[in-house]
Amino acid sequence: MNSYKTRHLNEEQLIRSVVDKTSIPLHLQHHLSECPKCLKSKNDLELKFIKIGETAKTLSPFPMKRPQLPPEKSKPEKSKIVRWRPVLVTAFTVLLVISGVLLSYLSRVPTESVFINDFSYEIWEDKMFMEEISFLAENALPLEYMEFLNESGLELDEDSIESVTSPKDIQSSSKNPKKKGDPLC
Amino acid sequence: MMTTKSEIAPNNRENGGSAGVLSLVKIAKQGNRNAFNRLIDLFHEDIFRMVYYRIQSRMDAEDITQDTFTRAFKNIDQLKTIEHFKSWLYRIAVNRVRDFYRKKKFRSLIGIFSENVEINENEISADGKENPNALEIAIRKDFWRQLEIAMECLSKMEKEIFLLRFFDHLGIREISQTLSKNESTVKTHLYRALAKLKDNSTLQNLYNKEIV
Repeated sequence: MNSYKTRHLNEEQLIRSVVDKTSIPLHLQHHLSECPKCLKSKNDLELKFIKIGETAKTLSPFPMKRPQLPPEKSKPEKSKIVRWRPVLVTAFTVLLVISGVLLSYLSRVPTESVFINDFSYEIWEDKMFMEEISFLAENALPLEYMEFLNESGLELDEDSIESVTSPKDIQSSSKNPKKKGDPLC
Repeated sequence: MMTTKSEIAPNNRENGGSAGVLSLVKIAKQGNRNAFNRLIDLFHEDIFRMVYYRIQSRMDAEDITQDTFTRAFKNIDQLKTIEHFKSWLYRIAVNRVRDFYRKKKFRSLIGIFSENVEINENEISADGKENPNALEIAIRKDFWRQLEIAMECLSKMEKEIFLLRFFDHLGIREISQTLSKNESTVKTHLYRALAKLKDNSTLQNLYNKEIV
């Protein structure tokens, strides 16, 4: 009996019993259930907080709007969007590839002005070459021999050329093609 | 006057109706809108009050309640244990309230202020009275102001757990599921909150006042 009377719950144990009755030792739980004083202290403490909670509920307003669920979504629209996406991506990729190929091709092909310039230069070269050939054909022999032929009236054939020219003259003319009247040197 | 245990114990009404709630949650998980609408009927007042206790604005509380149920509807298929539906719903609401305060803090930093306690003239009080008179408005304002002052000594976690326990009537296990904390942590924070509030004079005044 003495242990029963002296073993009342202290403040800390009372608060713990309010939080959770099982958090205090078993003998104190037993005491709490049997001791009117401790039980009243515990109930008064707990009731204070419960009453404040009830007052808050009384002083809080009533909700005027009831929460509504979002509208149902229709599924076919989603599938349409999903179908178009790969088509658009593929078309865009193809366009990119084609434009890249075109750009690389255009950068290799020469421009019109360059082409024209090259072509006219080739024409000029051909013209000069033909003039050179015609000059050589008309002026096959050195100048002295040409003057002699014109005066003698001899025909220009191989025998007459050999009779007129000497081997030395032939060698020297081959070594030194730059003669007077030769426009290409 | 000695109060009985049943009056003091947390609200266990969900235990009596838990079978019905569980079956509704199970059907709602399969995409049944009617079942979810029924769940809204059961829980929307509790969620609204829970949000209102924390922000004291009816319009914002309605918006957050709507957002809570919208998110719950979209994500109910991710709920693993149907028995935890209530604490899962409260968790969504707690997170939405936190987001609300984050935005409010940001707005206050850039100079957009909002009244913390809104008393709209067109409000309907919990007892169904329309257009409360000036005295009732003053009592409400005074209560929330004093409660705010009394809970200033608590940390964020202590305040949240105290509100969930004594205002929202959740049990220790439900609070631990709502806040994703273990039960011993919840008990520790609740113990600290009660120890601080036990001898709080402001709270004592609130307790002693008779609210009509």
